[in-house]
Amino acid sequence: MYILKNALKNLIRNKGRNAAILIIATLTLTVVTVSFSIQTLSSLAISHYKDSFGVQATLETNWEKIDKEHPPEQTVNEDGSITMEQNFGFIMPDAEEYANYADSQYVKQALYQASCAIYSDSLKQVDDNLQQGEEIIDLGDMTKDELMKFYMVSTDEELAEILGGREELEKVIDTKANSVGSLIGFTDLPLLNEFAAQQRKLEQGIFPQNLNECIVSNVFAEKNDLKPGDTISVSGPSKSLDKKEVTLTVVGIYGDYFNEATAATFGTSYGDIFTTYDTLMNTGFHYIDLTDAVFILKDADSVGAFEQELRAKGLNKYLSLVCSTEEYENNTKPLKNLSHIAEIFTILASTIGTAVLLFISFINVRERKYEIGVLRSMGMKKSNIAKGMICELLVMMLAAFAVSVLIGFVLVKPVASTLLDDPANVTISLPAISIAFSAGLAFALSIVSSSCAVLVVMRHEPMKILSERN
Amino acid sequence: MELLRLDQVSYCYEKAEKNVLNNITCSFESGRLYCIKGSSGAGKSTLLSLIAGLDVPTSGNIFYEGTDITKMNRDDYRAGKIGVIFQSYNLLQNATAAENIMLSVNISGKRIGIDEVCILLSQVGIEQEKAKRKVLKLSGGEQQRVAIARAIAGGTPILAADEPTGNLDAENETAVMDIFKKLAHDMGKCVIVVTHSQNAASYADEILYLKDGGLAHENK
Ligand SMILES: Nc1ncnc2c1ncn2[C@@H]1O[C@H](COP(=O)(O)OP(=O)(O)O)[C@@H](O)[C@H]1O
Ligand SMILES: [Mg+2]
Repeated sequence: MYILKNALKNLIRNKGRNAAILIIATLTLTVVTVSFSIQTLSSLAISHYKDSFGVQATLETNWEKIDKEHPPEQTVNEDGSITMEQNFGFIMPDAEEYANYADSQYVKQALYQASCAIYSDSLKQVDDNLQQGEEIIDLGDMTKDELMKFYMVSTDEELAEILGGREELEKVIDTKANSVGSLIGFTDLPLLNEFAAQQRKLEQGIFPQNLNECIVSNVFAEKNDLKPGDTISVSGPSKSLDKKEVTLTVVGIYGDYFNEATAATFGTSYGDIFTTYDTLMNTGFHYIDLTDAVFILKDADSVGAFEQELRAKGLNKYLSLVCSTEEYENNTKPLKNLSHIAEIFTILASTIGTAVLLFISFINVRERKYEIGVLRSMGMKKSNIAKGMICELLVMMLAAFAVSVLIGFVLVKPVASTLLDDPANVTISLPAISIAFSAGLAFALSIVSSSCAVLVVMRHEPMKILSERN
Repeated sequence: MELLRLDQVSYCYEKAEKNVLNNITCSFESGRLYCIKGSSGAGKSTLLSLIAGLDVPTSGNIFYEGTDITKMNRDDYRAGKIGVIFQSYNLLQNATAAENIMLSVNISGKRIGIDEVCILLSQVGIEQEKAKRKVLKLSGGEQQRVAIARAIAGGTPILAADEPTGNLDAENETAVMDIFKKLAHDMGKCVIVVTHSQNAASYADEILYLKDGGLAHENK
């Protein structure tokens, strides 16, 4: 008991020395508390980001694997030129398979975009790509005869092989001529790159949200005299199967700047009519192409597990799950940098603080040495002296810790909201872990700063300590 | 009754070439006042420090009640068996006179009230106001008397004093030596005083002369 009492009295007795220790310890602990909090908060923000945005993943053809397992064959022609031929093809998963894949604990959301050619007697065509010049050819709109001419083949078999099978040929044969455009269904607007890139902009009305709503281009609207609220009736591409028409309500008109820029090279697509994915799938049209499918995964770390799951569900071995972490990385980069800087700050502050306290203790040791000698000469046990000194510093560090936590509480809000880009993501408060860390450091500091004196206690006979002084 | 016995005690400071003390053999009894005299540098303080258990002899043994003090817990010996008045006082400079005394008593596992401390201090001529002053702010003579009070406060069987009256005037010297004499003769303590003063030495029951590391006795 008297040890503690003496330790407390010692704190007051040696005000000068202790004030320096107290200030440095408070400063160190404050910087550490705040920077550790920033580190924790930015990590928290990163995981929040992970949770709320997820990571985009798509299925892509693994050309490397195909090239390795089915190397292209070289044939040297009579004239000495070389023809490369790679006889390989496989069918991409259809909407149903995608839906099966998306049914997974790793998938937060699946985004699809699909399209199909549409036909109508009542609507006028706006794209006439076949006649715009020899460069621009829309294969999708060609009849079987046109295709045979284009590929320079004479039999159905040869054409079927080029098209990727008998089924594809059947499709071509069964496809109606003169489509008025494409009906494009989407689950999520960002998937529509031209809209995201502002090459197409909604200029009147709204985006389709409900079943059987659609938007058309300004060019299409003008040619067909359409305005929001009007309806259009279209049928699907199959001659034999798509005989019924579906009626869609025009809810908006978009300006098309995309076509203006690319018309010369790729032809135009003013006939693109956008609707919801469900609307398109509900039409019952045939030959719908799934043009884009994106899985939004819950977090970047589950990519591997998800791909394994896909393989187990029978994903074609020539398809791989490609994760676009770029956006994710870009968005979390500043946070990661901040976290890193905060970490460096934490380490630096702890190290410098510890070093300075060690230095002060080292300087103090002369003074303390005499005190130790006196206490030892009076018969105080080494362990009790050490206890007293550790006690003294613990009390001081406790005070420094308390003050630093208080300052931390005040500082963390302004500092964090300045540093963290979107403070709405995380509730900013002093994280318990940083308080715990600071407490741990405070304890370590008291041990470190009392260690010098304690070493003197342990090593020397009182006679030596006292006679050196005298 | 023999309390303390030195047997062939020699001491050599670290890194020093010559022994400061050479084969010293002597014994000290309870109830007697001893004086150790000798020229400066003869080794008186060194001898007292060994008796105080601040270090162990380079060779030879010191026995307290027949037990070699190196074989007992020297912390307990210092705290409970011997009170020392150092030549340079060895007080805690930042603590008050009273605190120095109370701490010393506490270390030996006892309790002492502030009133008792004040009585003790007044016996050596330190008034109450100075008892609560930091040692730092006391004169050399006052510090010496605080050191004396501290050594006495523990009530230890042995009291060892290194030139305890060196900084005192004749009047205070007499008072202090009277206390020592009382402690020895009335309280049965073993009091060992290193002194140059002829007056102080006149109180002694036995005088020991230290010269060239050796010891000579003079019984009264
Ligand atoms: N710490 C020390 N290291 C080395 N020599 C010392 C030390 N302290 C004292 N001495 C030497 O030991 C001798 C005896 O010293 P001391 O016991 O203080 O003498 P006294 O008290 O009789 O004047 C002296 O020669 C002194 O120089
Ligand atoms: Mg001396």
